[in-house]
Amino acid sequence: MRARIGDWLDERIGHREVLAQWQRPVAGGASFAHTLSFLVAFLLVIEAASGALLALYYAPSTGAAWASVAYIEDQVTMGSVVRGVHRWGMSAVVIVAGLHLVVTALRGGYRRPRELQWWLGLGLIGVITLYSVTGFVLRWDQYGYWATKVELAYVNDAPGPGRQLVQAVQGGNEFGNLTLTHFYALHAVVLPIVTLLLAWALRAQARRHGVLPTGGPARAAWPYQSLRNWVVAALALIALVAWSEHAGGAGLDGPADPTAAYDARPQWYFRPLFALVNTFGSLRTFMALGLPLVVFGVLAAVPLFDGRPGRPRRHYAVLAMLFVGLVGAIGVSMQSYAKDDDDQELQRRSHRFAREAARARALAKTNGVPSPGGLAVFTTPRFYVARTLWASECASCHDGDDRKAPVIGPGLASRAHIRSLLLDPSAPEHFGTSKKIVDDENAMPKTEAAGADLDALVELLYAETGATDVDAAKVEQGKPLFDDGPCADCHNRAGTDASTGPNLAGYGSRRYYEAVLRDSGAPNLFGKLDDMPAYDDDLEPNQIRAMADYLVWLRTATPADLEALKASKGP
Amino acid sequence: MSEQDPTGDPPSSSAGDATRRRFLQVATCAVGGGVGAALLVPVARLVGHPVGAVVVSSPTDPIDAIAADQVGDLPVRVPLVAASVRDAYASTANVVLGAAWLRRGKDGQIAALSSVCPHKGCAIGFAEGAKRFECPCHSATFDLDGARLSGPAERGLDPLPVVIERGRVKVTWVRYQPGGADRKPA
Repeated sequence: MRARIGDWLDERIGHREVLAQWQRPVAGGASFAHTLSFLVAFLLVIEAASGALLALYYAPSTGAAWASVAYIEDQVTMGSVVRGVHRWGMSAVVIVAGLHLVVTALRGGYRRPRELQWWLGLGLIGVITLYSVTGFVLRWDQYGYWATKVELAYVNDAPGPGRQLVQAVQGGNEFGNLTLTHFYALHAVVLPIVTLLLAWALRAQARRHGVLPTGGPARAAWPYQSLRNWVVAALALIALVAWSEHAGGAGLDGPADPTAAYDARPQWYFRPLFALVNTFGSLRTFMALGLPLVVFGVLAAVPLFDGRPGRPRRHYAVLAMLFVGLVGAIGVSMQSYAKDDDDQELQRRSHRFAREAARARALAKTNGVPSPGGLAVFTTPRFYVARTLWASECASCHDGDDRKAPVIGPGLASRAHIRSLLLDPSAPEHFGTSKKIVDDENAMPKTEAAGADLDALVELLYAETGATDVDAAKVEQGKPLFDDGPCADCHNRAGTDASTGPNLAGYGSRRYYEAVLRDSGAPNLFGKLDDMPAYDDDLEPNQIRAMADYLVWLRTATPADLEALKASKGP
Repeated sequence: MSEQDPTGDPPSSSAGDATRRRFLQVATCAVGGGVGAALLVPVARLVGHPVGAVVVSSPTDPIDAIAADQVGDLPVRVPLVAASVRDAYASTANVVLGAAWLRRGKDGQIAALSSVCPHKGCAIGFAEGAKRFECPCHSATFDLDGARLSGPAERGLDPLPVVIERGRVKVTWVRYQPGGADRKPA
């Protein structure tokens, strides 16, 4: 049965001939030295697969990019693992491709007739660096945003069409939505197509010219080389996941903030350039753009310089150049990292940005990110608008020892608060610091009511707040006490009529607070006793409403509730 | 006949057949090349669309920044929030465009500097100890008036237009191209 299916298939796709190729002995035999090209291909497949998984969740727009990455990182099952593998997998590709280049050079593998393989390999390494450049901005966090901004600024400075190139790539005059769609398309569609073409060409070349002989006996690729390939791939995958977990995954900084003095730093494989750019004064732009071109040019010229075997001095020269280049790159990078480590100010800033990132991600997880984008996550804590207004507009008079007005805090317009106000209106926490009121001949006297009468008056006013736990019998009892007693000399408790003191209809309700905020000096409120600014012109209706909602919330809030609110507040 | 023509054409001997085949080859290249060239047109047009285009824009009127009496001798950083930003297909309210460093000069006038470093576009910070502006990316430094002191920047910090209205400082946001000694709007 199996044979018949095999026959059927072979007649149509001819797979037996293909499979037989793998069984033919290969001159030079199997070797771990030959696993590197397989490993690069394997890691690129891991990149493609993890990238496809991330694309299931990612949204490339300024409003959604950071939010969707935070979602992947903090909420999608295994999202942070896949992101970590995707990010560090590209670092692994850089390392393995670099190692492959060195091993090839050691063995003179760039010589005739393999020049094209060498050049195609260099092209692949170039494409790999472009994955990094296009991938990092997609996070739209501080790290990716600023690093990419600087990279594009260098291209902008390049002679010739640098500026036009930047505009085409970033999609217009500034970073924005098109930057994300452009980089996403390059990263996830265009570069993979180029990579596939290069990989196909490299594979065709490898088939044509065979492996570089290692001196071992001829062996079939299957299973002798294949086993080595997969053992190395398995080890590499384990190492990759272990490293990614050790490094804390791909990481995600706070949302891109165009005002933040963020220490933009490139990926580790661009660090030598960063170090050199910062070392060589007037040669900066050359260092950033010209140097990579020179390095690629020199590497590309290697097969021309040492094109045939039997000239060991030329081979040594190539190896010496590679060695000096590598050691130099590692040296300047380490120096640059050490410099950052020693910079106390930088470390302090980096801790501050890390705290901000943690808060942004915690808020994104609990509240979601508003549609304007990542930065708006800081406005999602409860009563954010009100607390911000409180800090800028209210606290200077209503909070602290230098108060000029009543304390506004937890328990505002609660029974206890009303009772305390009635018992001593001129106490420091009430109108004691409101000069215009306490100094006026009409300043409110202490109530003479006590016992059940006081309870009834308190309940009457408390009912105005709209609270639901009102004792209706006590309210009824309070009405005549108010209307026939001294209260009514200065206050109304219904309608909108003005009197000496505020009209107490709806006292402590949202409507009352909105009226006070709009214009506390209105005739039916504090009138000429008023000393508070009118906010009708300066605040938006939604701000006034948000503030009033907050004041209503204070009635039932405890000091601990307020502390919790402060702790969740944005920057 | 011992050899078969690898092209599959019948063995030919006449010059007319060779000419005909040559013509067909040229025709194939011409048609294929024409298709390829036609496909390049939309590629070039769509890729080139953003070049020179103002894709991201916001109202150019001054943005309310801070109360004038809160600006002193030392620079304060104030984020400039656009009422709305048009960004390609999207229109978004309350978008932070960038920040201005505001300071009262010796003459008592309030001046604003863009926080965008004129070197590579990072946002500069203020070092309170050294009393100077410092860029965290490539260590460019500037004095309190924005003139360059050291580092890679080729010009001083970019000034932003300021007006005072009813005690409020209002700043006009202008983004310049990074790099170069001259200021070119981005």
